[in-house]
Amino acid sequence: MRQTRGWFFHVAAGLALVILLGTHMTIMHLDQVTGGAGNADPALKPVDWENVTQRGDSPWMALFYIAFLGAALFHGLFGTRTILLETDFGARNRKTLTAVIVIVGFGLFIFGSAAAISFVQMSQAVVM
Amino acid sequence: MAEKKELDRRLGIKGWALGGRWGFERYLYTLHRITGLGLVTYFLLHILVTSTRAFGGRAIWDPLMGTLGSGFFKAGEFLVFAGFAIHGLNGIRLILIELGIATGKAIEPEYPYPTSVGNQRPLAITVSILAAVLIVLGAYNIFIAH
Repeated sequence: MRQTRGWFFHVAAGLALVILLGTHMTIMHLDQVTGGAGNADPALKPVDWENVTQRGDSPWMALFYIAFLGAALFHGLFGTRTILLETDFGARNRKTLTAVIVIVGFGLFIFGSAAAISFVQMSQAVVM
Repeated sequence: MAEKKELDRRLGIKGWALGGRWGFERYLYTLHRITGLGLVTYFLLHILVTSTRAFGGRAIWDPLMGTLGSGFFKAGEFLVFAGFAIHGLNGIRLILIELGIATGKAIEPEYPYPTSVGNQRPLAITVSILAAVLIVLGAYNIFIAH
């Protein structure tokens, strides 16, 4: 039952990522194709500081980053665990492997969320 | 009575490519896993790299992006984009199949038994073409337009 629930959330996170990662990739890697969608200055690169801080100048961006981070970490780490459990090593160390993945996932989620909130606060101060 | 020997049926990672006469969908499965592992590896590093802008500001961000904008890293950026295109579109196909959409209607099993793969194949080909188009657009954006 727990495995089924995990698989359900894996698929749900995958669906969320189609939208969240799709949006991120369109803004960051298809900017010249879309005419600079999501970038304040289409003449600059999406990673240029002016565009980065303009994008970060909204509390909604913090929410976007945190949802994106959570969905990507869950989907990616659950998928990695599924693959590793198919190996002899994974089958022998199932509990340890799960514990390591949960700790890494929560650790990166807390670190990434703190970075996202700090970045949005900093961008609001820069753009003001 | 002789003890029955349990056979090891675990193919493991080598089963991704060496399991027998795999069809087109099986290679999409292998590609899905390779791209997934590539994306998650990149993503874990991406969290650390993008966090520098929050903690170090422009003084760290500008030189870092200058380094990451060079040829070698551009090739890596393209691989990540290609991985996203393949994994994302194939993932949509897998969800549609799992939900029973695009698998065709259930029919009485009559000899010679048909395979449902034939019903699923057009979707597999469609997502492969869409992924190829997206990869070409990404290559244009990364290598030519910038």
